[in-house]
Amino acid sequence: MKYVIRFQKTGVICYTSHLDIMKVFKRSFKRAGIKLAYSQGFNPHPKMGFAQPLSLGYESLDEYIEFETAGDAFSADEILGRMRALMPEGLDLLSIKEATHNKTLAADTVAAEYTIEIPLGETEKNAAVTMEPRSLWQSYMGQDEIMTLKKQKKKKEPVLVNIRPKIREMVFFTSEECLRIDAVLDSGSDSNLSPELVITTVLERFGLDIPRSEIKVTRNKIHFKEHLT
Amino acid sequence: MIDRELDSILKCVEKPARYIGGEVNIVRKDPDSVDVRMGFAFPDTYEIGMSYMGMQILYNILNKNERIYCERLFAPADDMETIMREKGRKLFTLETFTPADELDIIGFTLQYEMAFTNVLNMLDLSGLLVRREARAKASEGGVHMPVIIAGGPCAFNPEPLADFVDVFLIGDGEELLEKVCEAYADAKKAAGANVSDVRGIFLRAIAGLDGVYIPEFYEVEYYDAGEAGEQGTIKCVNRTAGFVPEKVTRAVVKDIDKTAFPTNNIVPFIDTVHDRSVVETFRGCTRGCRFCQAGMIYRPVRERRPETIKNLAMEQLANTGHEELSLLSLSTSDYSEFEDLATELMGLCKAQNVALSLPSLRLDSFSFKVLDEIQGYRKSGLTFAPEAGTQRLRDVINKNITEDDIYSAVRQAVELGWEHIKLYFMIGLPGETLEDLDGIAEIARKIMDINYEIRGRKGGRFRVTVSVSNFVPKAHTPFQWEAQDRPEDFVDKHNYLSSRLHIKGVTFNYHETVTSNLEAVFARGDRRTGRILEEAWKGGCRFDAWTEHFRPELWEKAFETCAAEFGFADGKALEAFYNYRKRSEDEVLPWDIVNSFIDRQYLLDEKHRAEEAKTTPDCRLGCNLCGVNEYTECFVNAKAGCRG
Repeated sequence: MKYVIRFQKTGVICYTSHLDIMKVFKRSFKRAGIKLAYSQGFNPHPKMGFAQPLSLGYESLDEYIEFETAGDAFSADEILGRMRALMPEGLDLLSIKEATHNKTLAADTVAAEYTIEIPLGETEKNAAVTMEPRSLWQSYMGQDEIMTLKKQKKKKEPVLVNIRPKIREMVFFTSEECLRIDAVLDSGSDSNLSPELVITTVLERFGLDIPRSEIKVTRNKIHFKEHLT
Repeated sequence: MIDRELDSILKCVEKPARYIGGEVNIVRKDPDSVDVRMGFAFPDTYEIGMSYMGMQILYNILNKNERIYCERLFAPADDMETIMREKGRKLFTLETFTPADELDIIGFTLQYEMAFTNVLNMLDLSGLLVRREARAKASEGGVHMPVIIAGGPCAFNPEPLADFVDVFLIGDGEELLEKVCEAYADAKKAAGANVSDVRGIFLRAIAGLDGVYIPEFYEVEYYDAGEAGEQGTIKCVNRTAGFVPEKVTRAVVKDIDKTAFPTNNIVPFIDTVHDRSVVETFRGCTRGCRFCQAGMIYRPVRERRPETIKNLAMEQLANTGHEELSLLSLSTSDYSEFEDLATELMGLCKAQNVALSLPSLRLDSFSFKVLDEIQGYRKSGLTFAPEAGTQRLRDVINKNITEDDIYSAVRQAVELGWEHIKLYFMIGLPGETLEDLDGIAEIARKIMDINYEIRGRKGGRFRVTVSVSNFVPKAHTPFQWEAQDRPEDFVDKHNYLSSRLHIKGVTFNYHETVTSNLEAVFARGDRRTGRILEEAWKGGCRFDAWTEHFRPELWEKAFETCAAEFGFADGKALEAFYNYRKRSEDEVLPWDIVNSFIDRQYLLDEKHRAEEAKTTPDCRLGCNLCGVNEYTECFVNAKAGCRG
C-alpha cells in the first residue's frame, strides 16, 4: 500500500537536515512495527521519500512524505496514530492519505510558497516605513531581470542567473520591526528557485544590511501539478 | 523553545543539530520538580560523545530517580565556541538550554587524556573559574558554583586534573554516581538558606564512599635537590582531613546482571561515530596483557546473563529503530556462552533486518562461521592485533597470540573470500629491538604470500593494512614504571618501518608521534602537570585528539613555562622527567592514591616476568593472585572461570 503523510516541521528541529529527518521517519516506522516495502538489488532501501527537500534552518507547515508498506497490517489511521506517538517534538503529523498515483510526489512538485521574515535594524526601520509595500513590489518585481550569482552543483565557479522568471508571485508586508515577503517560487525538478537567492537580491535591491542568521524562512505550501494529495 | 539569539547563532554554525537536543528518547523533566540537577559532560563533540555507551547508561540510571535531572553537555566545535564567546553565551544543556553554571553538579567523563584541555575549556565556557580552589572560595562567599566531578578510566590517575575537579569518582559509576547526586540533594536540604554550606556538607557526606577522591584534602610533597629521593618525585602525600581515606578504594558493581542498562537510548538526529544499539555482555578481562590499562582496572570478569542480554537487545532495537546491534566488552569471544549467544542474536537480528556487529572477536573457526554469515558477500576487513612483531616481544607483553594463529586464520579468511586484512601493532614497547620491527614487516609479507598461494600469482584485490600506534605506558599496569620512547625514536622507527613495508598490496599507517608523548605525560602525570595543561589551554589548545586542531608549538611553550616553575632546566627536561625516565620500583607514583584492587606485588611480578619474556596464563585457567578477589568476587554469572 502507498500512503502520503502530511506534516509540519517547526521549532529547533528545523536545524536537523533533510536526510536526518528521513532517518527519523525510517526508524519510527521500524519502532512502530510498520513494515515498509524495500527496493530490490544489492542495496535494498525502504521505499519512502519526501516531496521536496527542505533546507537546513527552514521551518515548514506543509511537508509530505510518501511511503509504501509491505502488506496492509495497519489501516491508514492506525499508521498515523502509531507514528504520531513516536515523533520527536517539532515534527507534527497532520494527516494521512492512501495514494494511488504512480508518479512520485517529488516529480509532481512544481512550486512552493514561502514566508521570508527580515527583521529590521534601526536604520532600516526608518527606510522601510517610508516605503509602501506596493512600491517595494514595483521596485523589486518591476525589474526585467533579477540577476544573481548561483552556485553550480558540479562547477566550482558560481554563474550569473536571472531568477525573475522563476518567481511566480510575491507580496511584501512591512511593519515597524520586520519586512515580510510571501513568495511563490518554482520548485521541483523542472525549474527550481531557492529562497536564498530571493533573500540575497531583496537585501541588495533595498540596501538592507541584515545578517542572514537573523532572517527566518518558512515554507507554507507545496504546489503539485496533478493535485495528487 | 529557544531564544532568538540562540536561533540566530544556530544559523551560523556547522551541524547546528549538535546543539539542539530534542532527540528521540530524550528525558524531559520539570527542572523545578527535582532536588538536584546534573550536567553529564563529554569533553568532545556531540558526535563522539553520543557514541559513548557509558553516558547512556548513567543518563538512564540518574533520570529514573525522580529526585535527579541529568542533562547533557558537549564541547562545542570551534565555530560555535567563537560565536558563543562573542555573544557571551554560556555552555548550555541540550535538554533545557540551561546555562551550565546554574546546575548543581557538572560531571565529566574522562575517556582519553587528549580531551583534558576540553574539560578546562568547557568549565570556562560555562562561565566558571577553572581552578577548584577559586571556585570553592566563591562558593564559600555564597556564589552558586556547581560541584565539578569527573570519572571514567582516566580518573584512575586523577592527579593531572586534581586542581580543577572537586570530586573524582573512581571505578564503576552505576551505583556511585546516583549516591553522590542524592548526597548533594540532601546537602542542599540540610544547608537550607545557608547556601554557602552546601559544598562542605556534601563533600563530608561522600568522603567515605568507595570510589570518592576529593583532592583538596590531600597535599603532595615532592623531593627537592639533595634529598634522599630523586628530585621532583613524590616524597609523600598528606591528608589534611581525618574523614578521608588514606587510599581511595575503587567503586565496583558486583553483579552487572542486576545493574540497570538502558533500553531507551537517545537516538541522535545526526550521524555520530556509532549510532547503533549496544549491549554490554560482560565487564573485565582475564587475558592480562601487560600494556593494557582496561584489562587491569575493569577486573574482575562479571557477566550479564544471556537472557538479560537478549532482552535488552530486543528492547533497545524496538525503542530506537536502530539498524545495527553491537556487543560491548573487552574481548567479545571470552563470554562464557559466546557461541550460543552469538547464534541466537544472529537469528534475532536477521528476522528484524538488523546488522549484527561483533567487535574484537578471537579468530577461531566458530568466529569465521559467524562472520561469514553476518557479513555475507559484503565483507569488511578482518582485524588482527598481534601488537608486536616477534613471539619474544609478544611474550614480553603477554599478548597470547602466535604467528600460527594468525596465519591459519588468514588462510581461512582468504578461502572464505576476505580481501582485506588489518593488522594492529604497537611500537616502543619495553625491550623492543630492530628484530621486532622486522617481524612486523615479516608478518605482512607472509600474509600477502598466503594470498598469492591461494588466489594465484596476481592475488586479486587483496590488501593488508598495517597500523602502528605508539606505546603509552599507563597507570595501574605492569608497565607503569617503564620509560616511553622519545619522539625521535618513534620517528626513526616509523621511517624504518616505512622502508621495510614497501610491499605491493601493503599499506602502512602510523599514529602522530607528539600526541602519544603528550598523552603519556598526562597518563602518568602528577598534580603539577595540571599547570602544563592550564598553560596550554590558556595558549589556545583544545581538541588535542583532533589532528587538525592539535597545536604542538603551544604545548611546547607550556612546557617551557612550567619547567621554570618546577625547577627543571627546560621544557624538554620536564617532558623527559615524566616520559623518558624509568621509574624506580620504590618510587611513590601519583596514582598510588587509588586502590585499583590490583596488588602492587602482582604488577611488580608481572613486570619482572616481562623482563624475562615469561608469559602469564589467562586467569580463567587458574588464579594468578592479582588481588582483585580480596575485594570482590570474580566470574559472577560466568559459566566458566577459575574460582580459586
